[in-house]
Amino acid sequence: MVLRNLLRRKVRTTLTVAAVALSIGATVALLGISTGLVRQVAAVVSESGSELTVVQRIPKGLTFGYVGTLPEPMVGELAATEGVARVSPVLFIPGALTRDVVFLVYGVEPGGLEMRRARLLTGRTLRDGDGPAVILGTRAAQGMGKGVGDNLELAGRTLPIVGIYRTGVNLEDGGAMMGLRGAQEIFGAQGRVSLIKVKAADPIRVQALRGAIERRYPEASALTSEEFAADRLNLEAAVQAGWAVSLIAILLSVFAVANTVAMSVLERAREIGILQAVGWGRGRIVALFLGESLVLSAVGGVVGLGLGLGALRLLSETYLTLPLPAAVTPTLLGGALALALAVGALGGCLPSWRAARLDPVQAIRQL
Amino acid sequence: MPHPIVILRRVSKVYPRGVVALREVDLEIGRGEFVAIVGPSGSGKSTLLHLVGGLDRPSSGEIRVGGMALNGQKNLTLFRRRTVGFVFQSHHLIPVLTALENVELPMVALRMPQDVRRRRAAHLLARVGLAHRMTHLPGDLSGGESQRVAVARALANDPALLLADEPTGELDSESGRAVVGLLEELNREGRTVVIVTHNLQVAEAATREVTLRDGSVVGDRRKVAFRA
Repeated sequence: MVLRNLLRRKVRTTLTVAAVALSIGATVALLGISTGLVRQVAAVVSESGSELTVVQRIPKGLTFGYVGTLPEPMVGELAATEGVARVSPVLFIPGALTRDVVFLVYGVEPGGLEMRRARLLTGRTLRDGDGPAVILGTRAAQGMGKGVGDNLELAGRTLPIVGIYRTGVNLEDGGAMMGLRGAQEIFGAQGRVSLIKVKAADPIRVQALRGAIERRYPEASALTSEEFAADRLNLEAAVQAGWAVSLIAILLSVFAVANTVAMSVLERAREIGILQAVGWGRGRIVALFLGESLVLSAVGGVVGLGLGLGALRLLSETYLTLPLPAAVTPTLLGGALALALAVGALGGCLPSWRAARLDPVQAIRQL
Repeated sequence: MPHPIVILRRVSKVYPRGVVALREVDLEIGRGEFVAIVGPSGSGKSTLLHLVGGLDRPSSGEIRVGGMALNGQKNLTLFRRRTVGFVFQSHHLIPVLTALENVELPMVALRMPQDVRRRRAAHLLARVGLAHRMTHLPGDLSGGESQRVAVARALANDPALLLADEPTGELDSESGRAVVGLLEELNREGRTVVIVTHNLQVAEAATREVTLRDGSVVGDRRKVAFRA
């Protein structure tokens, strides 16, 4: 009876399902992207074999998104610090402009911790004394249509591409790596680095090492990879923005469901009166309309899940100006479906309750 | 009258804005009677039926049906489920359900198992001469057929009291006669039938005629001697 009643008004049902689908799809896509961003940035700083990332402490008055620099001599000082096994400086240039596209450039020490994760697909890796050469991430190479032997125009300089690499992290695979000296020269950052990765001699004593570094360098913060991602790259704001947009979409779909069920109650008032006359109780009438509401939202949820996953796949596989990583987790999938059902329950509860409370005589008399 | 099935004592119904539908009506209906309630439009006929059937509550007075005092009941759903069967002027079948499924509706409220419901619904449709139309939707049925399905639905929970509010109002004369004939048969089988009608020919089928005017009983005529 629930399904047949929904099919009585095919257009209205379809539009309501579409509203739910769009809200769930948007939620899945936005949260998938923001979760993916958090994960991948954390992966960037965690998979290089370092426990801490030393960055400039956020100056008072500034908030998330601030990316400062550190003096390069700190690299040698940290390397000589007790408890430190190895250090690896990185100059991180987000938003480097070329004629073609915006992407990320990493200035690294050839053979450093950062290079370990870059699996070479073609060509060769960076070497000491290379001069202004780059290795290009596989996603960047695909998007730009460039390969080994081609040149990359970067900040007005022409740089030969000597290799193509893959790390499995979208942010890095959508960018390029070059020698630290060359990057410092091209971007006017001589004597500065963005961050210093620190590998602890004893992973158990990381917190103690952290405290020692921060005491010695009050202008610096020694962060774990998760802290770095959250504090430095505005990702918490991205996640919150994702939730905010999703919430608006979800509220709109709740209204859509509520409107559909309310109109259905209005149109079927006489039927409700008959059901009451033949002995249907209020609970059964509520269950009927709430059931229709839940079916609407469940179908919308499944369709929306498909739309959201499709959008995530498209965004993560298509090379845009900034490759968007996506994380599809069982929590995201289950959460999206549960959210769809919640939309149905919320949207349908009031009209269903009102249906059950209709006066049977008035309802039957309704034309 | 010994052991009447319906007792009304000084029953009044006043709607909002002071519209008086019934004025201190006293009435008793015996088990197995076939009563026609007649009168002009606005005389309170349908109101009386709705009160007896537990669809509405009186403003004052006492109503007892099947031994149950309706006034004291907080929720009349159970009463409607077990004691009365309604047939309305417009059949009011659920358009997305087949004839069989429409007849099953009251039994769903009783939580009868589906196979038991189906068998009983099929039996009732055969009883009203519609065994060949079980799987048809209301849109595929004629007016008379739809009303007979409504009668079958009203019988689903084997109610003691069958209440029909202008059951032939929207039917042609032939279909109307068929429906009234069905009600007569059910009455002969021992079921108490109360029919509201403004059609005097329909009223002729009943064994007792109660006339309402302006909310009061102005006539009560038994055509045959009633033995409870």
